[in-house]
Parts: sequence; C-alpha cells; structure tokens
Amino acid sequence: MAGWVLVAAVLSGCGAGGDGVDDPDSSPTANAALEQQREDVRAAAAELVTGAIGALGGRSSHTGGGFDGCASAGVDEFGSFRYRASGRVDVGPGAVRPYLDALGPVLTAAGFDEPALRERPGGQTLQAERDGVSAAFSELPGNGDYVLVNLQGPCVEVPESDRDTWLRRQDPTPYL
Amino acid sequence: MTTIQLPPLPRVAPALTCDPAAISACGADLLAASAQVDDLGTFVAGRARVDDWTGEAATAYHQAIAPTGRRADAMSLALRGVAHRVEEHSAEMQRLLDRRTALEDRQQHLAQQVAHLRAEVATTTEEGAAELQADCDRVAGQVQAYETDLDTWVSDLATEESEMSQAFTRVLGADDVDRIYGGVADPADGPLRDKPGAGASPAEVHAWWAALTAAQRRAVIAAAPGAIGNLDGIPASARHAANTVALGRDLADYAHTEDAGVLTDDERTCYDNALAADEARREIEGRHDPVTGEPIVAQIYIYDPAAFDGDGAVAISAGDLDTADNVAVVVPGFGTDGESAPYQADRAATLYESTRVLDPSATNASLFWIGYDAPDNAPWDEGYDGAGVVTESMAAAGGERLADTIDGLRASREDDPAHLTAIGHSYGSTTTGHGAHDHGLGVDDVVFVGSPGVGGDTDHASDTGVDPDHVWAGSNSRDPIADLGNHGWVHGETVFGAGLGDDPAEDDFGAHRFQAESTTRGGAYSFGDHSKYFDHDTESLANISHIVNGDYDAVQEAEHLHDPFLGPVEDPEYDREPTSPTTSSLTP
Repeated sequence: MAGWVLVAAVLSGCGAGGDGVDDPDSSPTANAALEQQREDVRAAAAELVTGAIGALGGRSSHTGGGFDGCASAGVDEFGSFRYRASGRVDVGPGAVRPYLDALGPVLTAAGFDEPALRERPGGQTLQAERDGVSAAFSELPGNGDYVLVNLQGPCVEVPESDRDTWLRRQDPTPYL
Repeated sequence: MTTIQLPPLPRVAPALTCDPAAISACGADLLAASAQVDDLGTFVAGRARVDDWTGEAATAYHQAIAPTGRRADAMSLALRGVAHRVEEHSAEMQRLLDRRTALEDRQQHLAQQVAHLRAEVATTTEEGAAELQADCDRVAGQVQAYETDLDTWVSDLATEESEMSQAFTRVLGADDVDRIYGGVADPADGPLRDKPGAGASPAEVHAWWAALTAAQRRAVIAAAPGAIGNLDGIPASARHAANTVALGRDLADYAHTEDAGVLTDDERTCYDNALAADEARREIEGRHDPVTGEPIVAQIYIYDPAAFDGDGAVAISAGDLDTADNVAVVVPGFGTDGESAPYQADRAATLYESTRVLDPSATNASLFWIGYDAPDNAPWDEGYDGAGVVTESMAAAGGERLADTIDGLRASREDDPAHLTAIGHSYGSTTTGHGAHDHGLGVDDVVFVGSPGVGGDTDHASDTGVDPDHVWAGSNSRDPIADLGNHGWVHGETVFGAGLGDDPAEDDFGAHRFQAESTTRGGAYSFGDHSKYFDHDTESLANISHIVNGDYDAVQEAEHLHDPFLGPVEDPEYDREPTSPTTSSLTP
C-alpha cells in the first residue's frame, strides 16, 4: 500500500519523479536553441527539396515541419524536443531509378557529410548529417515515382515549465 | 523539296492558386456556425417555451419568440447549405488542381516533342521526310487532344467558381433566407426520429446509419452532431465529421463567452478540454506519413469535453479507422484526462509512423483512447480520482467502455474487419485487462506495457478471452510501476485490499514478453522509464508496431520475470544491453 501511495505522489508531480530539469537560466537557452533549430532545419529542407527537383525534375509537395517530443519524461510530458521537416518530390518523366543515385551530390552540395545508403522496409534511404541535423532521402519503389525528404535536429532538453508550450506548438506554414 | 508541317506548341495552362484545405476549413467553420444557430432554434422550440407557464402573458411570449425560432431554423439551414457547397467546392478545386498538374505534365512533354521535331527538320533527308511528317502528325493530334482538354478544364473551372458564387449570393439577405428556408422541415428530423434508442447495439446503430441517404447523413451530422459523434456503430468518418462540427461550435461558443467575461469555472474546464482536443487533432495532421509523405489523416472518434465531471473524454486516431488494415487502440493510464490529448496525440502519431515504416505495404490507424475516467490526480488534491489508482474500480468501469468502443469499431466494419490490437499502458493495462476479462474484447491481439497489474481476476493470459498466443507484455526492467503487479503467490488485492492484479510479464502469466528496454534507461526504479514505451527508436515501440502489423515473427521476445519461492523477483532483462531499432524515416 505504501508503494502505491508513493506512486500516486510521484506520478502526480508531488515527489521527485521524472528526469526533468527546471533551471530558470536554461529556459531562454533551450527556447533559443529550438527556435534556431527550426530555422536551420527548414532552410536545409528547402535546399534539399530544391536540389532534388534540380536533379530529378518534377515538383514538390507537403513541405512542412513541426516540433516533436524526443523522450518522454513522465505523465503527459516530454523532457526534450526537436524540429523535424519533411517533403515529397514527385520526380519528372526523365528521372531514372534508383533516384537516390542522383541525390548524394545534393546532400554534399548542401554541406552534409558523406551520405550513407541504408535499407529500410520497402526501399532505401540516403542519410547524412550536418551540424547535428540529420537528413535523409528515401525511395520506396513499390509506392510510386517519388522521393521523400526527412530532416530532424538534435534533441534539446527543455525546462519543466516550458514543456507544455513546446508540446502544443503548431507550425502549419510550409517551408517551401 | 518536301515541306514538313510541324505541330503547334501547346498552350500553357493558366495559373491556379488556391488552397483546398483552407476552403475546407471555411466550410467547417460555417457548419459549426450552422450548429450554433440550430441550437438557438432548438432552444426556442424547447426549453425557452416554459411549458408550465400559461395565461395571456405566456401566449404573448410564445408568439413573440416564435419568429425568432423560425428565423434561427431557416438561417441554420441556409448556413448548412452553403457549408456543404463550400465542402464540395474544396473537393472540386482539389480535383481541378490535380487535373491542372496532369495538364502541365502533358504540356511540358508535348513541348519537348515539338522542340525535338523542329530540330529533326533541320537534319532530315528527303527519304526520311515522310516518316518525320508522320511523327509530326501524331504529335499534332496529341496537341489537339491536349488543347481540347485544356479548354474543358478552363470551362469547368469557370463553372465551378460561378456556382460557388451563386451559392453565397442566393442567401445573402435575411429575406432571401426566409423565402427559401422559412418553415422548411429539417431533413435531419426524420432520421433522428428513427434513430435506435439508448441501449441499442452497435450493429443496430450501424444498420440505421447504413440505411440513410447521403443527404440525410449530412443533415444529421450538421443538425445534431452530439447524437452520433460518440455513438458506437457509426463509421469513424461520420463520427469525425460530427465531432468536428461539435468541436468548432464549442470553440466558438466558449471563446465568445470568455470574451464577454462570463465564462464559468465549469465552462473554463470544458473550454480547456476542447482546446486540447483541437490541438491534438492538429498535432496529428501536422505530421506526415513516412511512406507517402502526405499529411496523416486525423479522425475525432470521441469528443465530450464535459464527461466525467469535467475530466473530459476524447479519442483521436492517426490514420483512417474505416479503412486501415491494422487498427491499434491505445489506452493510457494514471494522470490522463481530456487535457492530455496533445501528448497522447503525439504518441498515436508516433505509433502510426512506426507501424508504417516497418510495413509500408499495410495501411494503419492508431487511436488514443481517453474514453474512461482515469485516475488523474493525487487523492489529497481532488479526492476520489487519485485514490482510484490503487484500486480497480475505475479500471473496471473503463473496461466496459473500452469494450463498447471495440464493439463499435467492429460493427462499423463488419464486411471489412481490421486486424485490431488493444494496447494498455500503465493503469490503462488494468483497464484493458478488465475490458478483456469482464466483457470480452473483440480484438486480435492485446498488449500490456508498463503494467502494474491486469486486474485481480486475470491470473493467466487465457483469462483475457484472447488466445494466449496473442497476449503480449512489455516491461522495462527499470520501470517501478511495472514492478507493482502481483508476483508469485502474493496477491495484493486480496491480502491488503489494494493492488491491480498480476504482472503480465511474469512466466506464470503465460503471455509473450517482448523486449522493452531503452538505451537511455536509468538505474533501478527510474520513473522516467515508465513513459518511454512509445518513444521512437525504442525496442518497445518497434515490437508493439510488429504486433499491430501482425508481423509476429519480427517481435523480439524477452525472457519472462520469475519469482522463486524464496528470494526476490528475477528479471533477466536487467543486465541485457538495450538496442535502438529504427522506427522512423531517419536512422538514429
């Protein structure tokens, strides 16, 4: 019974549960880091989508992003967040598979490190990093003539008092 | 010298800039406004009549308010008509955009062919002239067909814009509204009269809904969203449409009341729950399918911001519940109420992404289900709810509601059943256990994660009513909540009157235990590890996703906990090095 009372206390925030940080000084730093990450990821995403169209022709769609929780830290909250962006490029009629062959130079031209080709169920990804931002082109041959672009920044620890704000933050504006 | 007749260059399609999603949102706002006005009409015809008031003054009063009710009903029908036309306009504009994209591709392709033929003319010989002319004629025919289709597209666009404009202008004035809609019976009245009563089975409800015409369904959704939004047996798409109307109406009502400075505490609570539901829906819609890159479909399956004394009930899916091959229902636990919706939406979207990444050939939907009154606060804060965490009473009540939801999902897809998995986390696993044991959940698989016990009457996987081969348990070795279930022969609920039943990860229980350690796990008894089961790139999420997808061979099983007669409980997972399988589009 004592164990259950302890559980109720800790899970409801009355004890030392979770692995949260609530240092008032870290709040502006974390917020600024996430805002900067948003700018960086969106700019890189736009660059990669534009580069992919340059390499494969076609057009882009669904170019959006938002903040995601990285790691849960107790009831109804994440302890850290990051920005992710995605997009789709329906390739032009002249594009030749595998599309990923043409996209390595797009990543390196954008300043990403040497991309690595990896298998994923139904296809392959070409993934690389730049200053902590991960980016990948994916090709899923069974699903259509397109490539997907996905990017995400590193996880940033957020003080407890700001977690709800980041959880509820919406970002409906396309980056491209 | 032979003359070659070259094909003409195809015209470029005129630019078309429009946002069908924004048009659709406008339609939803109009429908919500229609529901608000309809509420006024219902009020005037109902409670505002003060039936036990009679006499001369009462007669005068009834005569005075009657025109208001008539005008409200007419205005509601007018707004509804325009709203439905706006929805159609959104769909039609999307079709026109798609057609324009196809025309643009054709134009570019034809322009390249014409340029190629022009270059050929410069180099062709007399012998090749006939063949070249044949090519030119073929391409000229294609250009002609393209031009015809382009003209049709331009004409269709003009027609659509004109008809949309007329839909607005015919009800611009109050007199127009009264002339067209005054005294007109609401097409929803008949179907609502025939609606099965309280206690009807989901199958009966489904049969009633299936017999309605499309126009009647649309009328019911607009006129009485509360009548079907949470009604088991109604298809998810219709529930979503109704709950979207109800949510839009509530947000507008509460915002107006707040602006007027007369929002009560109870209304504030409901408003917060409504805002949370809206944010949860947007959270899901703001994420993208990892296979198609398109926005994930969200469906509001339950919306009742006033339920459970203001805790609120809400369930929203990532993915289409009516068509998905695999459907997962996630039951959260302690600390959950209506305001938990944004966090639970993130989890649902994450599970959706993971299932899609791991099996792109299957379609999926994952529904977070805050459909019961979960213990959501400490007992010394607000009384009973928090105390409920140490007993099974709230889980038992929730289990019944969960079984109803599962029955509803099944009934609305009788001819096309999904592979259905119930996933209970924390106290939600106790609720899920009760639903299975007490009411027989119609699921294919049941998953317990971070379970403090699956209910006192469920001593073995077979007691769930689900084939034990399809009962699964995930238990992080550092999770102290998962350590609270009964082990060995000690049964807390019978010895101390408190406790939630057996640990489903123990060998005696007979479920499959899957790996659920985290690379970021803490030391012994780390409360943070209780919340990591649904995080991306964890063993737990990968294994849950494989189960949801019915890909059982891919599940990484773990050795069970064991409680020797003498000595503490042994967990073989404690010393195993955790892994980080990829569950997203980006490898960690």
